[in-house]
Amino acid sequence: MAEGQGAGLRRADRAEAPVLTAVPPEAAAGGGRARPATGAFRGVPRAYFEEAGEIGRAVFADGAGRERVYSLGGLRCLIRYADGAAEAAVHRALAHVEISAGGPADLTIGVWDETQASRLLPEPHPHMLVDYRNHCLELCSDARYLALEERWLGTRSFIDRQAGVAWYCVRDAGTLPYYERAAPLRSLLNALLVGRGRHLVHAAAVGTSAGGVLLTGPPGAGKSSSALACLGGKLGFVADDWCGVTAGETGGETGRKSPRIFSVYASSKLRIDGLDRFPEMRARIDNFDRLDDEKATAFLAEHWRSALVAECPVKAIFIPEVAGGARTAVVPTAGKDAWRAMTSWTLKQLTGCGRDSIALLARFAASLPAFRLQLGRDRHEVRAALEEAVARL
Amino acid sequence: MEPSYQISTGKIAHEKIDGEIIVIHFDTGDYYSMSGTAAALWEMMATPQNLARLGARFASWDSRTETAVARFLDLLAGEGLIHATNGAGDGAPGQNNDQKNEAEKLVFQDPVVEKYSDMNTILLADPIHDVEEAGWPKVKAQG
Repeated sequence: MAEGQGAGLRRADRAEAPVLTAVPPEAAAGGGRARPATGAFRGVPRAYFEEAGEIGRAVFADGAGRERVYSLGGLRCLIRYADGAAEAAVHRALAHVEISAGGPADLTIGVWDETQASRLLPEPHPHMLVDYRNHCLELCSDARYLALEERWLGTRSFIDRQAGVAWYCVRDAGTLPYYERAAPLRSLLNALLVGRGRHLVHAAAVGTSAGGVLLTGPPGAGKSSSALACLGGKLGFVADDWCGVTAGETGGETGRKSPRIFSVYASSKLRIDGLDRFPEMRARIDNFDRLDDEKATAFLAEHWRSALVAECPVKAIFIPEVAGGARTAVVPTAGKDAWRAMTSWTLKQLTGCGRDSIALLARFAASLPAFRLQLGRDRHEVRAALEEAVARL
Repeated sequence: MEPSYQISTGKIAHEKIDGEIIVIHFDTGDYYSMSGTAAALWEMMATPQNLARLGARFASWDSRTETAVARFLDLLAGEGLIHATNGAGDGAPGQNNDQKNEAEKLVFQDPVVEKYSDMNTILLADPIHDVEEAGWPKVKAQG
């Protein structure tokens, strides 16, 4: 083809921050006790899952434990806690979506704290340590099984995606950082959800039973403050940092035609300077004595239960950005921008995502209009802008 | 016989987002954007299409536009987004149901596809480590 006829490939690269950072030091293993060697040869994923399952079943046979059932986007998720420490670390963030027991579970997860357990998980085979993404080592995987080690946290997850069964072991639940307690089991839950037409996304969300909006973008963009600004208004709180989404599709397992969002964690994290804008949060902060190192974290189900919305249709994706002006404005933007923001910040922070994740997130974004939410300084204007947008969409 | 082209499946995901086609290549982590004529051509290739059938959808079609589309198809094929097929799609314009009334025909603009590599560390999704019962990694046989 001659020059100047127009058809062509235009490279349009943009710089992105690298995903990989230095591997942190490994946390001390199970109270100084020696770990057995693994018997799973060279990381066969099923063998490793079964080895963990054998230990998990032994741990649960040791103690009384407790079972709780949660609704995650309409799926019944049974979590069996082997001990009180494990339950305390996980349950608070999920308490608002707990439902009554009874009926078959779609997902079953066993959670235990190794300091309370008589048996330790084996050391992973050296060949299992294959990938590293955002403080998470993917031990081994195939299309069905996935094993993850979050060495920074001292947690390991063993997941049978097909059966909807997983084990989650934490070396010492007492040392889990605030951000993990605010949104526990993220990669594990997502690995179970994605094959069932659902996904976790890095986003806040607000809405009513009639409809809501997703707020996605990089850390510091104003997602949390936008969601908190809506507390006490017409829009309920769905999510602060991680939100569940159900891709819109006809037929299939979900049987739903329109995309939906659902709450998973009723926790909120604010930078310390954000407390000046939200003084009502001060009395609800869970970690007020550690704000030098941690974001101010609140478990909203314990303070604003009636303001929480478990699930609703989603009408649009918003990309908040701090505009610095006095007024808040809603400006239409390309759907591609919303897809990029949601996908990049989600996949950067979740391990175990594959082609199914990428396809599902694209399908979800394709069904929704996108807007930029240019945030002004007045929180009441942010609330008003979101309320008006949700009413109009 | 004039070749037909069809969207490749398996290694890509594609969606129409706000009128814009986004195609993600799983093996490279690159993604592509197409609008206007490029998006229309892409959507037509959900089923096998040859140049004649593609051209029949446009109000103006001559050697210049045909060359532009041929180059566009070569680019997409070179990126692994479409492939030549022996499937249906042969035939002259006017001999199939794709022939549209003049009023329904599309205005042709040179098709452009934009390629982005800024997300490929993210879109190169965590690999699925397919293993045999013997485990992995597989040691390459000597010799």
